[in-house]
Amino acid sequence: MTKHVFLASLVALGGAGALAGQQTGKWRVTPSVAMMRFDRTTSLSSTASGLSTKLWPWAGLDAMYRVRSSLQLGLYVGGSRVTTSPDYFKYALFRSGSNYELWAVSQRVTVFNYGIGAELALPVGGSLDPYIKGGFGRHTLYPDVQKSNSVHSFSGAEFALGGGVRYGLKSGVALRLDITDFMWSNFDRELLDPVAPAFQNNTFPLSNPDGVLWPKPSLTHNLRLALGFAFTPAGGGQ
Amino acid sequence: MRLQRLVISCGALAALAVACTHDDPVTTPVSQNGEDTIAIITLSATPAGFLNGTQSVTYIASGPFDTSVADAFARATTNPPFLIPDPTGCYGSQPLIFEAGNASVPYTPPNAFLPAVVSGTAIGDAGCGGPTTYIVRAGHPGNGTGNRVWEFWHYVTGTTDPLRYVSGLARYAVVQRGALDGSDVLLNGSVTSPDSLVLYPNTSVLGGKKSDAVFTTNCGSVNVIQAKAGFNPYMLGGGASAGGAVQIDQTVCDTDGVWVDASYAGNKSPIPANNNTAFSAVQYNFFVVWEALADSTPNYARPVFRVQIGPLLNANGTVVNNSYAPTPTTQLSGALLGPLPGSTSSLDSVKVTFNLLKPLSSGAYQVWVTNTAGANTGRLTGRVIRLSNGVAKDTVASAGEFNLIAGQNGARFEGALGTLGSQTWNRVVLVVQPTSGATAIPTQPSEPLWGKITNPKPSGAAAVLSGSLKFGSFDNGAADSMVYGAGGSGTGGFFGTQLVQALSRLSRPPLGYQYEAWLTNSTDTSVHLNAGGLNGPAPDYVSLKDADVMTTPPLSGVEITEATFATDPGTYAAWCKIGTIVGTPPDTSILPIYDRLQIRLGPKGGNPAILSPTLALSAPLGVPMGAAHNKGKCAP
Repeated sequence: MTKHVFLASLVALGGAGALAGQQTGKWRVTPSVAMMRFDRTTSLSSTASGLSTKLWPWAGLDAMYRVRSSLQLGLYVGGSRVTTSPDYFKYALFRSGSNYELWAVSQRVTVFNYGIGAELALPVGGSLDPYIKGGFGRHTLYPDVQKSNSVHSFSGAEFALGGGVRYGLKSGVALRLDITDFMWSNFDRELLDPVAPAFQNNTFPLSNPDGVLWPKPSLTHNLRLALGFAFTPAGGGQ
Repeated sequence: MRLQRLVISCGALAALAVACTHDDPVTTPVSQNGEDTIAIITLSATPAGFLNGTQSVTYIASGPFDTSVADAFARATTNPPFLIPDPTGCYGSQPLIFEAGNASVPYTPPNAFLPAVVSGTAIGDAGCGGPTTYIVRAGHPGNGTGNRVWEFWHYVTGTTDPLRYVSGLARYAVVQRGALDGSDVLLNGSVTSPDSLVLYPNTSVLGGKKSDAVFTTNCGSVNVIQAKAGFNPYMLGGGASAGGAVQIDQTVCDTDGVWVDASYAGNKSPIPANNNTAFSAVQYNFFVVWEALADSTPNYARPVFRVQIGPLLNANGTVVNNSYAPTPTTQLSGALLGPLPGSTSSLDSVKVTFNLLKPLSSGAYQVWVTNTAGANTGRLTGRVIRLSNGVAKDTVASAGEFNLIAGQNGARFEGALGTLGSQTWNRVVLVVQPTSGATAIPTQPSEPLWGKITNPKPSGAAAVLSGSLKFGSFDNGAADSMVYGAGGSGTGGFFGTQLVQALSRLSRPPLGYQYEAWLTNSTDTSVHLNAGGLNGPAPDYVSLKDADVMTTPPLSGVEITEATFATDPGTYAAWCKIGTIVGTPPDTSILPIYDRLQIRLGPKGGNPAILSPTLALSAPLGVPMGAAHNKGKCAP
């Protein structure tokens, strides 16, 4: 399943490239690679604070349509495969003969986000074009099929807010560096618990990780630092 | 365009690489204090040592006595009166009807009813060392194994020589004048207007034997009487007075199957049941010795010995209420009348024994009486005998409350109701007061033991003079009053230096009581350690000290749905105290000091150093893996 998802991403990326190559209108397509720092309450990060926070590679694609000289509207999609931290879930409690054993368990998770966005270029001269961006959409996570013993996913609303700069390389081509806060609404990390309730450790609760008790904010902040390669078809206004 | 394609191709390859990443499950064993294996300790319900006790009460008559109540004096019995082993030993130890009741000579039966017994006669000793008043059923070993004869043996003194006397069984109906004579005697000590006895039916036909009595166990003898039905009186032989006495010893054989009942009171026994059972045609309620007329028939107006052996009949042949044998002779005191069914009476005193109590660090035990709704309560004052395993240790007189000291685990309270006797009570209750000297029962009181009493006792109701106490929460008889029963289970073990139990479905403790974890020794009850109380589940771990009154989770109705117990001394060395390490590493072993983990119930004000007696859950304890591995450096 996860391979299919990524193959679909591959096709989308290829399709975007083809679009960039064929369109002569106002579309601009930006594939990008990024590092994602998930919110520390999502269980996709770690309980550590500061620079030691876990970072995950991320791939994304924007397709924006210029409706005015400084305003572009369009679609965005992104995704990655990450591993949950066991520090947010009760340990697995197994009985082996006359003994108990506790195990910390994590799982690989495929994360997608997608939505519609807008970019507003700031009127600054020179080769660096700063902009701010915003958008809304949804996030979808696919837990590990083997762990959850089923194919299922869960989704939620997403709001995006960020900004960056573009550096034009030549006509219709630019490098883009931006930072975006993808805000997930009412994200419930318990849905990523790889241990079935019957095997969760309720017998030795004091031994469970402290992260079990961490709060679940209504809005989680997931920061992405992305480096993109923007293509604008000839005559697109770039 | 080449640059675009290059970038796109790189991106596609990167995505492909991500898609192909292998995702083995990531599982990591969790360890604590160097140990990742937890030997399971399972707690199971092992109810024992519940508080218990008994109560007994005495009543005193406080109102009119109602003789219309069935068996108002509680005198009815299945067996006939006087059924005792022969006090002289002549007939061995198997009971027979010995009308005198004891071995004192002479014996003069009560002279009740009309016609009156001729004065001056009594029962004397014919040779056995006591009054000769025997009715011995067939088969009684005193007359030889396998015999089939009933024996009637009496020795009457004060008779007139050379008059002839005859004996017989008579079935009498009573002609009542006013109150029944027996009731008169029991209530007033004397008879106002004597009742008369007349044969029933009055068309009765005399049967049996009038000639001289002869004792023989040979049913083929001409001297033996063959039992017959339908006669009244049924004569049992006679004799002439000589030396101022007459001895009549006659046997009756049951050859024809007339008197073959296996018991004294069966319907084929000549002796009736001493209750309301209707008489059969072979049953009689008096044994009588009369002066004889010239033809040896009885002179019914001159009985010289008469003893009631069954209830009286009325003119219709029905048993008369309260007329049961023997004929009463003495007035009953108020204390004796008090518990009788016909009596209106009040509680006079209460005696209550409480077992498996625990010494209190604060507060006191008090004994109260209450009514059902707890709307009225009264504190009792009386003598307190403090006990150790049922053995009296000391006594406190006129105590309104008490406590125990180490080594004591019970108390017996004896108190009079006094002025409280005039009020309505139906429970006697042990109250654990949080403060000594309390003069009122608080809301939701700790009342772990209670028993049922009845005050006042109305006529027509049987008095309950004793009973067992119940253990739980009486709560002044409120709707949540409940009897405690241990339930629940737990599982856990030593994880590193931590001893943990996750418990489920524990019974709600009685009001004023709490669960405590103890480490104990299964063979030495003096070895124990209070390991602390229980808490609710994660993440709040709310204290369950007040689980008796809590209304929020984990309390649900009568259960604690989830609870935890955890203790962690922090080092394996600290756990050495639960067992002594013996041997030299690596060949060490644990000699347990504490070999049980137990969940017990104790009063909240109980002395924490004294083992609480009430056991709810128990499990073999074992030792921490780390200690077993000698990580704690326990000294051998």
